Amino acid sequence: MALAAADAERGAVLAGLGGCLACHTADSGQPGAGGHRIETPYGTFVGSNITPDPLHGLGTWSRADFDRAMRKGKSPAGRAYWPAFPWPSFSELTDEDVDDLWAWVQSLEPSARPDEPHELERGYRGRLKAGLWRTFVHRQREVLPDDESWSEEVRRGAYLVNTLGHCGGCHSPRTRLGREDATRRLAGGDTPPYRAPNLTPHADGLATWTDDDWSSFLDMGMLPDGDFTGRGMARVVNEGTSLLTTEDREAMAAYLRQLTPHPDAEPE
Amino acid sequence: MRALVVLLPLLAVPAQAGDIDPETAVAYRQASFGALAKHMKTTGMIAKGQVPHTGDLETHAVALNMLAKQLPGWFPEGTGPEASEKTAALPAAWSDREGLEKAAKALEDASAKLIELSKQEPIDLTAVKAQVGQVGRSCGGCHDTFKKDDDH
Ligand code: HEC
Ligand code: HEC
Ligand code: HEC
Repeated sequence: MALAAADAERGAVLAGLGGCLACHTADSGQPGAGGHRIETPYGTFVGSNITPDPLHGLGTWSRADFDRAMRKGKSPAGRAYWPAFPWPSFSELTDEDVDDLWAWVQSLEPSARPDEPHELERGYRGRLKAGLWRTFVHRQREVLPDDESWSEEVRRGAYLVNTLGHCGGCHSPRTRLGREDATRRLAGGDTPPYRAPNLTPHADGLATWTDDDWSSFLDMGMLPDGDFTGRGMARVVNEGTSLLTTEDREAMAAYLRQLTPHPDAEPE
Repeated sequence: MRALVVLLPLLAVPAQAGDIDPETAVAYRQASFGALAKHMKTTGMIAKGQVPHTGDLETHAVALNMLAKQLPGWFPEGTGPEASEKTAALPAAWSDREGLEKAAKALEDASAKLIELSKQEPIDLTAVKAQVGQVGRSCGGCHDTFKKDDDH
């Protein structure tokens, strides 16, 4: 049992980087009880209750149910989830990380807050559409196949950035179908409500950032000029990257610095 | 001619709050925020152990703390986007004065904790670094509401 407690603690750090509470907690609501509203071009999605409440949360779920939701994007009843839940990124999670996230979910205070329905634009309503999207997207991996030339460190960084951190959820341009554009990975995203800057080592992006700049940013949220990040990103740093080990932050920087440089996307 | 003679001595009077031109007020405001950023940059370098100047920490923290108290004064009436193209300040900085003062107070409080940490012997740089992050949240937090998104 001591081990399980330690796992939940590790899971909490993973959850911080994964932004679970940011999407699954209403403003000043109970952690994980749901209610956060996510505005997208397709409508407003409402983060669900993921606390272990038997009626309104995941109280009756098994580890296998949780695994299927996280890595396959399907509910225990077989419904396809919308990609507002970044499961396509989470689909590459390791077994160990799924275990620890599951331990963390079970450690949350149960809440009987009922889920609210998503408010989708006409034409996107219905689980069928989510299913179609899922079928289409599932054929294409969000994460690039491992590059042979990558060091262990870069590989670890790629996992933290693309899988757990799903940085591309905000920082990658999207195709018409709303999936991340893998050909311009992390070249800046327009997902509302804010533009997230180009992270690639291009003159439009972060070509000038040194290892020290990256470590100050991922550790404290400090930009190279001494100013600080805000808008959604402050939370990613505060609850995510700042709690990682120094080695993990260095791995993220090593991966990000070797990305293919892309210019900012032309505004459409 | 008489009018000019009368006016000239008036022009020589040093500028007072309210009658400096908006562009000068904006330039001063932006330079002052630049000073805050320099204090944060240096503090961050010390906290990360990049440089050994732990003896400077308290000075930077005190400067941040004292400037935070002056900060609302950098926003006199008539120096917003209606008067200057250069300012990145949003109209909310004037319409929600209470919110601006609250955000400045958050910086004042976070930097006060930094002063305490910088006085400790031996100095705990990990704690200092975490607190620099907290001070930074007060910077970013105010920008979210009162400053235009940079280049976008
Ligand atoms: C960007 C926002 C976002 C992030 C980040 C996010 N989720 Fe979600 N999640 C959602 C939304 C929206 C849904 C509902 C999807 C649907 O109804 O199709 C959801 C659904 C779920 C579900 C299914 C719940 C149910 O009742 O069927 C689980 C489990 C879940 N998320 C867990 C997590 C975990 C664990 C993390 C962190 C590793 C996480 N989520 C991160 C937005 C998010
Ligand atoms: C919820 C959306 C979101 C997620 C997820 C996210 N970011 Fe950000 N990021 C932003 C926004 C928005 C900004 C701009 C912040 C501002 O304007 O202060 C930003 C800014 C940044 C910056 C500063 C760039 C600059 O030019 O100023 C870096 C670096 C960065 N993010 C890296 C990351 C990394 C690495 C991850 C994954 C661990 C990540 N972000 C995940 C939204 C996000
Ligand atoms: C109470 C609100 C508030 C707080 C707190 C605050 N800022 Fe700002 N900051 C602003 C506003 C508003 C502007 C835009 C000023 C203008 O362009 O007229 C600004 C501008 C800036 C600029 C750009 C200056 C330029 O040259 O144009 C920097 C850098 C900056 N702030 C850094 C910081 C740092 C670092 C902190 C924390 C130590 C901080 N700010 C705290 C509101 C705030």
